[in-house]
Amino acid sequence: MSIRNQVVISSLAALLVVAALIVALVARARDKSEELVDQQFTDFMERGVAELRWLAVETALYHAPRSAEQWRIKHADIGRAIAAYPHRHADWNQLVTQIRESVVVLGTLYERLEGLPTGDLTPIDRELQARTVSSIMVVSHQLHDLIIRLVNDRRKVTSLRDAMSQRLIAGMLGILMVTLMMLVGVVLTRVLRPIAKLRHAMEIVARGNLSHRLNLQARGEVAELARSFDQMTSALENSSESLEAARRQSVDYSLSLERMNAFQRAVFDQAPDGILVADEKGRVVEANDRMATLFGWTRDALLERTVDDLVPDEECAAHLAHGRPFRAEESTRPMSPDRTLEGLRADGTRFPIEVAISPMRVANDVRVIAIVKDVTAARRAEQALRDALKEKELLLGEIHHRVKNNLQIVHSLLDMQVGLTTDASAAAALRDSQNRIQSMALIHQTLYQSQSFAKVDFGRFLETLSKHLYDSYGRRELAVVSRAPNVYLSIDTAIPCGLIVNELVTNALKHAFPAGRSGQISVEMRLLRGVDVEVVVSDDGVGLPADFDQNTASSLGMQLVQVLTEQLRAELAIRPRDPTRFNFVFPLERS
Amino acid sequence: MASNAAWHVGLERGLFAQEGVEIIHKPYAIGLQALQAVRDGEADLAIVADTPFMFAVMEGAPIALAVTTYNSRNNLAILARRDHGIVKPADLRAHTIGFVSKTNSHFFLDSFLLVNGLRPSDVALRDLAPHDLVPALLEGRVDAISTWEPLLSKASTALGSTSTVYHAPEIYTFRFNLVGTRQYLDEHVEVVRALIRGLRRANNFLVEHPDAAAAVTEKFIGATLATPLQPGDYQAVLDQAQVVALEEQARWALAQGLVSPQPLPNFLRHLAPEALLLEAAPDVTLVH
Repeated sequence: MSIRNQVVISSLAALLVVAALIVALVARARDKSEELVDQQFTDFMERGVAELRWLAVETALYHAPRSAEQWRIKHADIGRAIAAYPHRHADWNQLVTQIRESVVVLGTLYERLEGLPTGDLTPIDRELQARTVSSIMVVSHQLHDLIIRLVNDRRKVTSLRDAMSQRLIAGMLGILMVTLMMLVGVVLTRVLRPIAKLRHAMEIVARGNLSHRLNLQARGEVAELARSFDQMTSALENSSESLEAARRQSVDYSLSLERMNAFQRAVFDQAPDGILVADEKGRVVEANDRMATLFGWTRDALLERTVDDLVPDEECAAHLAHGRPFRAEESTRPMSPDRTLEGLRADGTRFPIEVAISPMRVANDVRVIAIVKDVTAARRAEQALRDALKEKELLLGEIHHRVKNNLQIVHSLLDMQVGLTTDASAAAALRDSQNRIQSMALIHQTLYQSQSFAKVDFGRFLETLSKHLYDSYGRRELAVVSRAPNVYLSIDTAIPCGLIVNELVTNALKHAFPAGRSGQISVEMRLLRGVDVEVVVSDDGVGLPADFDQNTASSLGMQLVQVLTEQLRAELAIRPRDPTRFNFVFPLERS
Repeated sequence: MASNAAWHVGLERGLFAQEGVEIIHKPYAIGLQALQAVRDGEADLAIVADTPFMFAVMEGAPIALAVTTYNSRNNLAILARRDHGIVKPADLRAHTIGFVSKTNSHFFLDSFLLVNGLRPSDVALRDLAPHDLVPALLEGRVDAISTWEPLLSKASTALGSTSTVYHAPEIYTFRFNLVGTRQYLDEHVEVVRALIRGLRRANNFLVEHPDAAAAVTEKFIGATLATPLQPGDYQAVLDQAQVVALEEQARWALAQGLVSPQPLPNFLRHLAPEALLLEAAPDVTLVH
């Protein structure tokens, strides 16, 4: 049972006993009060009966009116006293009834006595008087005895009640004492002693011994408190151990942090580029040594500057004009990537720099990190490279120009040879060779006339080649059209591809339109999916001979076409007529 | 008799045996006969009214009264026949009245006549045997009888409205007493004490269980009680009134010549309060 319940039950029991005790004491007081009333009644009755007896004797002897009057007064008083007497006990009812009857009998006897004549009595009256007086004596004795019995009975009942009351009160006091002892016992054994142990344990724990435990094997609230105390000290012990571990770890972390800070400081100071941190107003709040060196300030002096002090005025204006105030950086970015920035040294000289800026938030403050790189050397190397490239391009253009001129000389030599040749077939063969050399020369011409020596604008080349061939064969009834938009080929691919087109167009000019037949020769090039190049040479002429076989064709032109397509890793597809069409596809990668 | 109800209850419930005394119960029609048995040595103790005891003392019997066990003012009465012209006490004049000589019915009748202004010579007194009281009245051999319960109720019931009863509580208190020889009482105080203890327990039973006590009494007397038992009438006392009453009756007996002329006896010599004093001293109100 819990201490609370025990205390509550004991207290209630004690209260009940006290209440019962009070009731018993009240009852006892009431009994005493009734006893007093009874005592007064019986005293009055005893005295009254004695007085009646003597008054009766006086009446018998003297017949004095005074005696009769007193007798009646007393008899009436006794009658009223009996009538008023409270019947508290059933056993007394009989006695009180007998007393009342005796008083009535006494009255009857007295009236008889008083009724006797005065003076000399007749013998019968004398005998009646004697008998009546005797009866009065008997009845008054009886009445007296009845009163005594009433007194005795009352005393018996009173003493019985007293004894019961005393036993009851003693019992209640005993119960009260036992209850109080139990209460004290509960408080001593289950409250005070455990609390003393608890206090002792608290002192031990307070001295730092967190391993101390009460281990109180009891029940009740204090025992629960002791168990809670044990749990608390256990938790405290665990917490203490955790705290110690955390402290050690914190020391480790602190050391690590110091090392890291030293490392970061070293990285910061020894970085190859200048680093500064500015606040939202552009004031320099941190800068490394490299930054100070770059700008010719001491580090401390630099910390008293703003970012605007580190760039020429026009840079400040340009930056402001760019609409991005220094403090408004939102992400890491290079600063003004499209132009070269300049830094302003302490001595007023300028030097090229590259700046990368990045926002940084420290608590509620906005900071901007700027990494500044001195690009003076890079700019110089870049210029030198650019100069070398220009020189190379000039040299390449000269080479291509000279190759073209040499080929042109060969072409002129062949032209002279044609003029000296009488054999038509030989002349034709020489002219074919001329066209082939012209085609190669056009490639070089196209190259040196373009901006790049790496790629040949093949559309431009085809346009020139077509015009040359058209002019070369003088076939005004024919039209030669070419289309090669945005097709650029390397020289390694352009030469064989140009030769193939030269052979196919030449072949069409020579054989597809016999006897002045008009028509059109078309050359088209296009990129397929950006990875392949398709070349189509077609005409609406008479078509190829019926027995034409590209694998067995004996003409030099077709043999060249076969060889060159293989060189381009292309496959030649031929449509013999309506319209006649040659097409091949080769990979652009080669170019 | 209802006056012996406490004794009947004690016998029935074994109260006397429980107190250590075995009683051999010998019923008699009237106490006078029981007292005679004691005087004859046929019984150790008798329950008897004060009038026979007074006569025995005045006759010189060595007897003594140990305790009064019953006390009633209404146990005796004059039962008269209306149909014989008796409608008030004075009408008894010149009529025949039956009684049992030397019993309390004798003393009661004399006192009744005296109180009502009649002399014994004004009426015709007829001494009857106890068992003949009621038949004599019913048969008309007498006009009235002086008698006690339960004969009083029996005769009154038999006569119905033709009878009238005259109680006179002021002139006589009926007492039943435990009487024995002086020698026996002196030698058997413990026996008497045991009897008194049993009697007191029986009296308590009467108070607590009057109906059960009435049933026991009816079983002993073989008749239905005419009136309820009055538990307050049953007691175990020895009072001053007893000795005064005995002297009154003794003076009457002497005056009427019912006993041989002699000085008024000192009845203290014929009272034996020792047992009651030892058992319940407060109940001895006799000046001693």
